[in-house]
Amino acid sequence: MIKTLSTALVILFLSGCSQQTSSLTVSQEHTVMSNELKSIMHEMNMIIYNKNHSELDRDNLRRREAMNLGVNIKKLSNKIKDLNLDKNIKKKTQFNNYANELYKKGDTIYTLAYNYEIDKLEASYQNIEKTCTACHNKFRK
Amino acid sequence: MKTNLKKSLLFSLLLSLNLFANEEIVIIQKDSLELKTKNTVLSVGGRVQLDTEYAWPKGIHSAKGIVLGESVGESGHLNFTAKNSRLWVKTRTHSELGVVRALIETDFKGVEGTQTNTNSHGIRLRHAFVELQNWGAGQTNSAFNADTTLDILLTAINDTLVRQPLIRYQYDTTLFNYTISFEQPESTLIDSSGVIITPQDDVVPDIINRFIYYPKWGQLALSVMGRYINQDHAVLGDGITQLNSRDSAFGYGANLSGKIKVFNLDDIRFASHYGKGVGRYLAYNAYAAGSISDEGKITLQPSFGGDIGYRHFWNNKLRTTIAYSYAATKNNLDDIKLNLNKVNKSVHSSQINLIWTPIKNSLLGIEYAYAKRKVESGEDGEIKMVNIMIRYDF
Repeated sequence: MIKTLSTALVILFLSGCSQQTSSLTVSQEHTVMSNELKSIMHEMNMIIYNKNHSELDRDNLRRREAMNLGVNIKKLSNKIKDLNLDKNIKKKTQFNNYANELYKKGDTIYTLAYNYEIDKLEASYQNIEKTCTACHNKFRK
Repeated sequence: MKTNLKKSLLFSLLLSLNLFANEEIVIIQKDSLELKTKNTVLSVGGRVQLDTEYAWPKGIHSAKGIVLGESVGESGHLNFTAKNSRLWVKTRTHSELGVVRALIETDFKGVEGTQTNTNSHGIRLRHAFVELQNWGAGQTNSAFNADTTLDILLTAINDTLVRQPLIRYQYDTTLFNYTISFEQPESTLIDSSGVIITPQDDVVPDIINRFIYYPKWGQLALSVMGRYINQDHAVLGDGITQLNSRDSAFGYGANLSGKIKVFNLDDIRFASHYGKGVGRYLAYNAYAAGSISDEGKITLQPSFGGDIGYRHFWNNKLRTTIAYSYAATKNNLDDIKLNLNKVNKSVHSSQINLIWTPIKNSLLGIEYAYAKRKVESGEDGEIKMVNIMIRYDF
């Protein structure tokens, strides 16, 4: 699932979630951010194999990584809004709705992690994946 | 299947412990399985692990377990064990002071049965720890432990793992973590006959400060420890002679560990430790904190070690680590007169592995290790070992 999520996020960021990625700078920033998110997801997957850590220590590490993930997703959703879209107001509104949805879900991940609700994070990652997929289906050619 | 297993475990616990007897219990199975009361969430997990080890000559891959000299007639030994499997229960409770988290974790490395029939292995406490806000208390890993370790199947020969009762305070931000920990003291001193004694005369906890930095390029941790080594009319290694004296000394140690991300998912991992009187914190108590003379005078000894490893990901599910580790001490040979073949001096090990994770939280790995140990009499011994591990965390 996490692999799928990572792939979805990478595709999302590389494509800019839009067919009109005319701003190269923004696109490059997305690439950098996507690599950071990929790295965070990889670190989270590997925590289970850490030696010399108790289950509480591992939860502390998962919490740290999830909080980072939440912050990065929120940054990304703001960045997405900066992308140039076509002049179709309806499409632009729809696109921004997806960006806002992504922001809220990033915020949810952050809040769950902050409150140590580590066991609920997996479901939240799946929710992010759903938002990415929905946006792709709508806007990606 | 995973969910059913967890559910069964939760019900068993509930029935056997009569937990939350006066509260309404709700079992939630959407997304994750929880046993939940009004304020508490209880979850159960663990690990099933099978280790298949073939060692030649017969021995253990540790700083004091490698057999010395030529092992006549002991060409090798094959051993299967599941005793490294684990079981844990943790809770999360919302209180007026914040989230309280508690953990009990066990493994099966307690009293051993025989391999002839049932291979019984007694349950053993690993962690019993509770955390509230920045404070934690109970038994868990020492803050002196290397925070980043090699991704290997066998334990590193220089491992700094110590698990003991402690009280700690942590300050955590997204960029760093600071911990101060007051931990159970236990002095270990080597007497003139080469026996490591524990005087049981400790009066001050071992105090450890740890700083962990989490930059984007990796991770870096530094632990600094101060400890007070004490003996008061200690009994020497013969179990009979009781000294008529007191002595003490201040010991210290530092442990630097970290990882640096390199190409793609690969990383370089390392650790380096040095201390005078660090003793049991290095290589599973292979070296004493210091020596004790026949008159009762304590002389602390320096011990040091380190490791370095490169971890390469062939793809997301397949990885290899190649690693080298080393540990040594400078024993005070003015005090130690006998049994120098029992006094550990140095050890080093090289390891290479291939680890496959076919599904999430699983591990199937094979590792080859070569290690060599030296003692103060000049003798040495070596071991070669192949370990195949199958593991699943649930």
